[in-house]
Amino acid sequence: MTRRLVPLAILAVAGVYLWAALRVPLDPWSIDESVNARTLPLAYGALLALFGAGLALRGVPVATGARRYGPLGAMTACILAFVAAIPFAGLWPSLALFLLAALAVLGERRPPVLCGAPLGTAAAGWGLVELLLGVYIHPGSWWA
Amino acid sequence: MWEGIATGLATALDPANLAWVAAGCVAGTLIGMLPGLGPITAIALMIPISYSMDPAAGLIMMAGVYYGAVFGGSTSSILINAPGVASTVATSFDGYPMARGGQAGRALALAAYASFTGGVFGAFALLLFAGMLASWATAFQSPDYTLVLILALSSIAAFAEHGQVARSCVAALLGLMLGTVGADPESGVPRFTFGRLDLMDGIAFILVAMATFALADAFHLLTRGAEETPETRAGRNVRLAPGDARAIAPTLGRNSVLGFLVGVLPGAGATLASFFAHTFEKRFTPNPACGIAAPESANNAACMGSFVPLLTLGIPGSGTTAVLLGVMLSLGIQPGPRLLTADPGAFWGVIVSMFAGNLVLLALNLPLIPYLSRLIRISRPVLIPFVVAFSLVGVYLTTLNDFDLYLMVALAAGALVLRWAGFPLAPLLLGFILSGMLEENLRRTLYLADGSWGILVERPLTVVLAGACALVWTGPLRRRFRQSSGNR
Repeated sequence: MTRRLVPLAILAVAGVYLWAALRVPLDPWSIDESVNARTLPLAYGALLALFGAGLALRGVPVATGARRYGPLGAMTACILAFVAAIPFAGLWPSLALFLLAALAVLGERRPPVLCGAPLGTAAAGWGLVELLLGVYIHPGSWWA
Repeated sequence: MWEGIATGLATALDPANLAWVAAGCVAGTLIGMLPGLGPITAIALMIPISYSMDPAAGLIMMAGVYYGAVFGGSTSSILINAPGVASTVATSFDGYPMARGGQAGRALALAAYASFTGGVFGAFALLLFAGMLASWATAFQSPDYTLVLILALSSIAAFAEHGQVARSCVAALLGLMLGTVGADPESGVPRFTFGRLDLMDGIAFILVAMATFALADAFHLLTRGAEETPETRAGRNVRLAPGDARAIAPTLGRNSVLGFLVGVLPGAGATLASFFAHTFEKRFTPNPACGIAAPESANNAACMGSFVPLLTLGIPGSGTTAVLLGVMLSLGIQPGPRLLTADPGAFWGVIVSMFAGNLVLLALNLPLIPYLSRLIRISRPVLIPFVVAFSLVGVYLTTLNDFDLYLMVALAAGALVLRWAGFPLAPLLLGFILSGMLEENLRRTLYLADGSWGILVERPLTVVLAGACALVWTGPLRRRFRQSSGNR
């Protein structure tokens, strides 16, 4: 990551935000108000653009050092798969599968931890939330 | 006031609330001990549990989590030189060498007694001043609130670390911008929803808190890999050495006062208090026992001090109290001057429960430290999936919406990039929480004055507050001017 990449990204965020702020619809009676639905967003966007430009000119010192992107990518994939699975498998089975996959991906190999922890956590969550607190959670289209 | 304290005693001494404050302290200690996880993450992870509780009990538990996490952070600081919390970094300066020298038990005992003294002093001071300040604050009007909110946001720049002023401001602005997503509070028009109904109610506070802290912390730990830190065992002998009590007594007194005063200032908080205290104390004595006692008493007193603006004005002074403000609003408690009359049980209950919480920290955690500290040895491959799972499930149980989880991952990725580039994330959360309050008060103020901005400098109080804002804004410029004239 270079010294200017993050400030330039901030500048881009400010640009998109300002563009969206200008498209906020206004009621006929609030157009003449000193502060309406657009005012503060425009102020925030302009200030962010100013700061972003300043930082882009100066550069931001980025922390160096070895970073491992593999585990981060694998964990992100596990999270996305977990979220995608919830409507079909339901929250608790998806959670057990997520924990199993995440533990395995990060290098855990002990069978009691790999199997016991995900199943125990999902069962405890189900017991606490659905049985004890009585919160209804859709079981997922596969089981419904 | 005495009637209020009696109400607070009745609330705090309720057996269920005592159990919750104890549970909060233990949970906070456990999470705070884990390197990389601080009080904000601890509170964020406990939010889903608080939703099912009585508001006063929920708030009492969360306060326990807060000072439990600050206390727990000192354990990892002393034992493995990996502070779980920024406010315990100063503790490691003298604590870790003492632990490496075979006196881990003494260092932990010093930290525990100093935390207790600072916490109890802070709770007393809060008891004395919070009621007075809250009664005075009932005279506050919308223009005053607007300026207090601007002052709280401006303090981010004033108290930013050296070279971080611009980055702190950017983080706060990003938070303010996230707070504008959803239907406009006055006219109801959609803003920044990009046609998605999921965003019409705005972004949930728990989502932002979990994404920027719990999930981003977990992502950050993942990229760091396994860092082997020489570990020091706590042992079972957690007690002071002869002469320690007499040596640290004056240290505890002066640094508890210092910590409380720093904690009351918006934007300062426990981290600044602990560094001030360590530097200040080293001018008096080179004794390492005092080097541990000073930051520990100051950071716990500062935690109590940070409740003054939160409870009396409804203004959070730090990232952690911003999360607590969000929790209070989610629980239906509106902090501010009216809290004293609207919900005296919650107001005084939280304050009185702090005594119980500090007692729990000392009585329960001190003998348990040798056992609790085994948690530090949990390997990252086991710890990280659970932190991620708790944060995802916490958000899902609150909103029951898959879209929020995708949004959470996107926000966490953004927060991780900002963290890599050295942007502090607490101002982002502070900006997010204050965004709605600032817009509401500013618009109400201008309605009252028919659109005239002059109302912001019309009364003596507003002039003082506007002056304070101007002083804070020009602070970095004045600092730079002093530096350049000093160099010449």
